[in-house]
Amino acid sequence: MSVVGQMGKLASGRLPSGGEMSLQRTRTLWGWVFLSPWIIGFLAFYFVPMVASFAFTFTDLRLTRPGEASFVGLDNYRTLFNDPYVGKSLRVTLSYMVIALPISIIIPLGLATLLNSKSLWGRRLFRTLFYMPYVVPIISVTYIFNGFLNTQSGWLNRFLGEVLGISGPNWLYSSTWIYPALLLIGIWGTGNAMLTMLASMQTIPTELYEAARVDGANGVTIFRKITLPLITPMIFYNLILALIALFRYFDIPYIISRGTGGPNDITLFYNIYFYRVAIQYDRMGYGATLAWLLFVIGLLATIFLFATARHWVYYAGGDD
Amino acid sequence: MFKSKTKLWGSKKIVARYRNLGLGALIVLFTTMVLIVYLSPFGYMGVTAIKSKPQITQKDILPVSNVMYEYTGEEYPEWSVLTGSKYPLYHVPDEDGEMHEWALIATLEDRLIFLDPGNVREGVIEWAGDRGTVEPVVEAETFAYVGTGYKEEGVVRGTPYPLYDLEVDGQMRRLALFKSEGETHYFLNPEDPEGGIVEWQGDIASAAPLEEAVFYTHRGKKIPDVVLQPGAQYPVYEVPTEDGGIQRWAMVQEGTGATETYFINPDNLDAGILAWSEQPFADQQRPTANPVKRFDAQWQNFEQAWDAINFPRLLFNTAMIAILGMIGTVVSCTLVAYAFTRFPLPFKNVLFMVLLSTIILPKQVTLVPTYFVFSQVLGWTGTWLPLIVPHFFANAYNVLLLRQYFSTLPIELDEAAMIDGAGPFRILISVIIPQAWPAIVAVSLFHFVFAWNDYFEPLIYTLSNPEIAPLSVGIQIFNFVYDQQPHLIQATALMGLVIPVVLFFLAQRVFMRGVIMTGVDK
Amino acid sequence: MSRKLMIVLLTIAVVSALAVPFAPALAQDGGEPVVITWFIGLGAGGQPEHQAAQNEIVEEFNAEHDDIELEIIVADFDVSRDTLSTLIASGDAPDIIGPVGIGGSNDYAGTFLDLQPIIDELDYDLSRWAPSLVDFYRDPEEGLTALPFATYPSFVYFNRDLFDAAGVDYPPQVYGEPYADGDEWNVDKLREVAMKLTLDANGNDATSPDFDPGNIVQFGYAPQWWGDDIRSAVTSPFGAGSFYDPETGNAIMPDNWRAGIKWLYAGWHEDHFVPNYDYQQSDLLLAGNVFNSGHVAMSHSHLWYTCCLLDVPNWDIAVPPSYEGVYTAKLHADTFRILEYTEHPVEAFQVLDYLVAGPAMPKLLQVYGATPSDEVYLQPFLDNLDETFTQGVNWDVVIESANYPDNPNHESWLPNYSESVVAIQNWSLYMQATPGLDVDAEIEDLLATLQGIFDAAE
Repeated sequence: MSVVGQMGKLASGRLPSGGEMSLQRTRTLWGWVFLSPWIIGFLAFYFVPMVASFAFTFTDLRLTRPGEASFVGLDNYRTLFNDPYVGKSLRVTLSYMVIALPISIIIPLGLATLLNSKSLWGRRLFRTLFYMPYVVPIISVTYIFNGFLNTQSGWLNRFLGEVLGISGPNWLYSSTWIYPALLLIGIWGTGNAMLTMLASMQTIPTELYEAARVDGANGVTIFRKITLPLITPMIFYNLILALIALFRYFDIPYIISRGTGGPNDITLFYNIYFYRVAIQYDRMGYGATLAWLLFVIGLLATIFLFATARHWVYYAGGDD
Repeated sequence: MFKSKTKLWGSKKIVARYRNLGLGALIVLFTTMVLIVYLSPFGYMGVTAIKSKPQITQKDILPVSNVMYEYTGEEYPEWSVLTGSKYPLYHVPDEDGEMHEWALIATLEDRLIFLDPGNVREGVIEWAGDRGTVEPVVEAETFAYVGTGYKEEGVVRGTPYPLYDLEVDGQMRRLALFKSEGETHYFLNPEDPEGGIVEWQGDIASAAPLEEAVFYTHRGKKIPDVVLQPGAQYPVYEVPTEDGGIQRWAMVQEGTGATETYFINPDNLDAGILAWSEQPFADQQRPTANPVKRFDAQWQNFEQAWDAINFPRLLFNTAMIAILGMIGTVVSCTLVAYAFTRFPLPFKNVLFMVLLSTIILPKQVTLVPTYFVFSQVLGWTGTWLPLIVPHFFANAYNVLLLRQYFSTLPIELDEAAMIDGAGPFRILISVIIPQAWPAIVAVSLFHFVFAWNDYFEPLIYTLSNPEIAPLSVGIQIFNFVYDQQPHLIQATALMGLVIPVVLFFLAQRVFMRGVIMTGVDK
Repeated sequence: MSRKLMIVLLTIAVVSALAVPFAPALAQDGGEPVVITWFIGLGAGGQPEHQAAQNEIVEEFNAEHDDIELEIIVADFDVSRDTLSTLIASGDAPDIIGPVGIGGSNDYAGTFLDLQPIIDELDYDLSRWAPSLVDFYRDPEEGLTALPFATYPSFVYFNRDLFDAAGVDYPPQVYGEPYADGDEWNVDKLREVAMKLTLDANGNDATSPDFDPGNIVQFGYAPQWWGDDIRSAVTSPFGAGSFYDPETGNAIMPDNWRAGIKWLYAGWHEDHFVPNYDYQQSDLLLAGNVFNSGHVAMSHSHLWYTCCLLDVPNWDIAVPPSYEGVYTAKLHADTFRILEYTEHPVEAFQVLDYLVAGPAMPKLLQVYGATPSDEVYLQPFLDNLDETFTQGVNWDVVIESANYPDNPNHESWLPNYSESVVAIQNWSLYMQATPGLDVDAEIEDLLATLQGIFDAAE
């Protein structure tokens, strides 16, 4: 372990001396103090609803007839196993995630690199402009893309047709093209990721770059050996967020497919199926079961990512 | 980077400088191109925001309207039958003395023009008879009672009863007759229907019944096909001429491939109505003339949206919710992230996972119990409290970010301060926060933007009190399934963008500033 | 923190959490005015003009009544079901919902208050409405769940300018009258006329061999805002029907609907006189508000569409075509309903009376564009419309169309209604967007899906 790491152990209170116990207890107590806002908030605003929603899974609750709910044991779970739509929608969510997750990291990373370049004039302006789409409200975004991607009058197809002479595809209602369409819309929402990675890049000490250049390294090597490793915490952050967001993906495909889950269930993302069951079919009991299944899967995926983190994420602070 | 150019001097320096310039220009160019592609949907948004609904349906990218010509010539023809117009009916005898009910279209010097409503296809009838024999067709003016009384007296709700002007108790009154028994007549007063029944004795023939003219509304096509009215506006087209030039004519009747198109030449009104197919340069039935358009942006869309949703109030609400929440989240998330990164907590990883789990569970499923807590237990619906208070207790997104950031801060500085005798709080304030300032500003900005556009929770908690709703909820008024107003949505979204973007631009200086590491021993 | 304490706290939290979904709402104080909440968003009521009129009515009502305070909640249509369900489930249910149509009411079937006991108690006079209208809202199990308020007859809106430009005669405006050239006004004639009115960018109509379906600038016929529900698109003109046969419990496809679906499918993808999904959503047709775009010659819709027709200057209305000699002008009916969760049924009924029979009624009907169920208000209502639409619309069509309602109504109940409708909507959109399908095979698919849903109903 590095000197840094050993010093870190020192700070975390594991002194190799007799005063170990009391110091550790003090540190732990302080830890609880600083953690308390979250503990209180969690108990007040999250714990009760989460447990309640778990309780729903054992009932046949209908939102519009709350008084008529009754206990049904594991029925909902049995339905869960036999429901073909569960597998279908999970497949949709996961297969979209496989494409979208890398893109949601690579594109912002590329943009951040571009905007980090010292040779770029007007950096502040460029950054603002690239960030701007992130600030547009979702209702506006769906209108924009419904219009922009329309087969007949959408700018994209008109550009393809009038300027490039290609017959543009049916972006919003074809099984082949709906995923690229969703990706395009998703790219518009990478402003935040770009920002965080850029901020992270900016904190890399310039001495490191200087030292590397003195040693004769070129741009690409610098990027691979210095920039990239040092921003892994931020990449990790964005990866987790993207993962969670993709599990919860709902608003955009719902509006684009007019609540139907797309042509032939191609955009029947898991959350859309959940919404359909819980609200449209008014079966919150079964819906809660669906939600908790998603929760378990999502939690496992997140834990897995955290476990792999120690292999590729570099923390200078020596913690975790 | 070029500090180490101490090694370069002379011509190499100059070359290097030019290379730098060239590289910079290239990068700017490339970035600009990427930006244009990236923001092209924005262009669509901006352009839609300044169009009217008919302009949206046009193929032109920019909002354009036809250039119109206002007709200043004479009315053509002398008379016309227009669709939807009313023409009074008259009793007219024809040559054989038979009486007809015809609609009077026009009164000319020597004849009258009539149209037979029962036989419109035959066209108009030119009648040159004696005008004295023509009488207007009239019917009684009526009043219908809409109340629920007088059933025993024989008043039937909804039946039209004829109106009369007659003298009652020395006063002239206008009453509706609903029943007559010999010389006794019973009336209702239209001005005061519930005021009781008026009884009147006398000969009803002495009372003056109110009559009104009867009209025929023309439903068929207008007669003739082309009608010109002074003051009417016609679109201007560019028409090719024999000698290869262009003239500007006004189209007075549109046609398709199968029908005729008619123009008039504003510079030569005497030439009359020009049929396209008869022109020497018409090489096909469909005119190859193009409409003349002018740029016509609907800047009033912004004003309309502003007024319709009371933009200043919504802006204020949104800002309040965003700022208060931002303060809360920054304070609480800093504390919590500090706890996670610098302190030995039992089951730290488990706790962290619990923190993350609050955002993994789909919010729809916890919505009802959460709403229940806020509404029945706390009574906070209709206020901003459900939207602000929870943020004072930290949330997973920002804690994650700050945790990541804090983890990159070297522990040496902490230790140095500890050796100097500083307590954990002091360390937080003097060591961690100054270093993590960029991340903290980032968190503030992220929360601000999130709160700016969040719409479902604000919607449901401000339902009973629309005065306090934020912008994202207010904008929904333009999105009702019937009669969506896409131009107003985009206009409002553009106006709503301004503040966060300006904030971002200004905030960059703070959190984009790189931190120069000092005090770290190599 | 001691372990025991943690366990105790955890238990309390879990127990209280389990009680949450089933806890009753808190009781209300006495002595203050009773608050009645009116929920809007399941149908009309969202537009600015509606909201202005509604707010005015609330003010007037509150000024007149000291013991009742009326409040409005407006939720956008997209989230209204969500919102209402949440409110009901958390014990915050509104007292009155509306205006809500037949389909919307089906989604909440079983949650409405039976008005009969209150009517009997107050000796309320129902005679202002025709008995058949009142009976429409009677259900053997639920009782009388609403009072007649508004009906929206439907007919064909047509754009006079487009007809003039193409040199095509206007459609007939009297039921039973033939088309201007003497032929019967039926679905085949409509198709013929619509094809002449469907034009591509070069001016060719749909009957021409040079017609380019990829470049259409004008369509002949389009069902307007058909809700992605095939039942709505084929009932007028092909006649009433239902997917459910109560005697056998089977999912069935009535013959007239089968013919209608084929006609419509050909219109979308082969003859091209009806805009398919891409065109319907494009800017050319204002993303669904097709008739108002000015690029559709004929559109079948209801009286409420007058709300949103303000960009076409020269339109009139005509009768729908007949199918096998039968005319069908499908009907929408809106009303207000009291939820059974209300804590103040009598006060809620007073508000209801004010809305459907009191001074609020003419005002609301005017802004919603609805025909009064109370006949005496009909002519003044139509005269009022003439002030907004000065081009001389033939409102007789409205009055006549009320005589040709679809029975059973196209929005009427199906087993597992919400699920059935979602399945129907998915299928309808799929048909509208996908060319080259075997319609009969797709119909079999739909029936199989519906059968599964019907069978699963409790």
